[in-house]
Amino acid sequence: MDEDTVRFGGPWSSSDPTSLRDVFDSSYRRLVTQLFGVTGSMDEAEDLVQEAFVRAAAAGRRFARVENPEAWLRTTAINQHRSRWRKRRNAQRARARMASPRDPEALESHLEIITALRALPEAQRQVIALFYLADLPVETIAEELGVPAGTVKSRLSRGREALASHLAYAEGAVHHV
Amino acid sequence: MSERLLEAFREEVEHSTPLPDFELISAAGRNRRRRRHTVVTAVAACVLGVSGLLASTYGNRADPQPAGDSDGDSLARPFPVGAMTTLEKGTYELEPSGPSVPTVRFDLPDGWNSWIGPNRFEGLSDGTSDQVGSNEDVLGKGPGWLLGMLALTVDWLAQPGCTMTDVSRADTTELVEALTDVPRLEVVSGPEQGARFGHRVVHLRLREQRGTGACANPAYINAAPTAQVTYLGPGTTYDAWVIDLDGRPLLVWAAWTRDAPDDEVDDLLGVVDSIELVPPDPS
Repeated sequence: MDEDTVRFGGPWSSSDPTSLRDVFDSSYRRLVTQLFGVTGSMDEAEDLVQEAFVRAAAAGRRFARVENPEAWLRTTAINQHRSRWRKRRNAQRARARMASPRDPEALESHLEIITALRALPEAQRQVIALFYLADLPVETIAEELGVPAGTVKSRLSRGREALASHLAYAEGAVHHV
Repeated sequence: MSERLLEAFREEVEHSTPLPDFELISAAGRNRRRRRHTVVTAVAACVLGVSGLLASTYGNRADPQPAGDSDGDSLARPFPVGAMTTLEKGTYELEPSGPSVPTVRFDLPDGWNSWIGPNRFEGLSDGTSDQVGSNEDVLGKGPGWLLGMLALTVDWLAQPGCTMTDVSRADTTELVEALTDVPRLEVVSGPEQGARFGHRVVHLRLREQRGTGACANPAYINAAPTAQVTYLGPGTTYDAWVIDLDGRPLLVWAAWTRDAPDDEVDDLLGVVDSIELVPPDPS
């Protein structure tokens, strides 16, 4: 077997070995979508997910011990995002970057929801993204973020309210133009 | 309305996201793995009496190597455990011993010394890393102040009566209780529960008191596999973060001696603040 071919256990049957390439093909776009929700930036999401795959490739066959590769990749990407966020939260460069993230042309019709997501506090946006874009249950989100399930529920509740409020405001603003 | 918009958004992003070239990603991973293999992760076998933070080890390990240059596509480099050398500013990854223990990633300012964990001390010069033994020489002269950080899976802890208690199977609560009973270490704040580093944690701060010197064993922590941590001197502050990894505790232990300058302590706390746990450890 080639050194870069990874065979997974767990959900992937050993009789049907899955390579990192297979995980990439099946999960990359889904992960970018989820990280877009988490970060509010398409560029950042692509960078984080690609970095997570590089780390998986760097682990070689040892990555085969990972029971749920997509969850591992997502957690790796989110942790990296948290680390970067901490580093640059006080930096002027970061504020400038955050103020004008690139919005792919294909997503022009979704600017309303993108703007509303970006307006959420970081912690609420993470939970909203994992719940609605990754379809994860509250307990799994709690495990992936390392916070109690009650915290996830409260962030989810507050995030929903804030999101609805932002969307209603945006809709109202449009109607008044 | 939010749910409907989010669902439409998800479909559109998944549909429109371009797939990058997997071969480039795979090649970057291969390059990174090759570089990692050049850095020995084992621990040097030597006894250093100056500092408990610069713990003693007795393992039969390969010779340690200094940290390599940062590769262009890598955001972190392996922390050169056991290699006493002055480090460049950057992000490092430390791998505490123990099954399924996450990698501890942290940012270091320029000019820190490496050993079992990152540390700084009086007289440490940024330009001495190429001179073998120079940092040891400075330590040997007894620096006026010292500080550093360790990330450990703790096996044994000193307890009253010159005894050591086995905490290798202790949960977070039990380890915290044992920490509060370590001789000469007085709890000055906490224990306080919270969430940090992406996990539930218990934080407490302790301060070293003057000891009676009655116990022969200078170590108060034995950590996996063979590291020992000894006292740094009266007035030393110890900031302990006991991280709950699904019931198993990982101890992040930051310490600074009484005369450590405030700006150096601020840097140390910044290092702790930058910690990120990378689960699970695939390497």
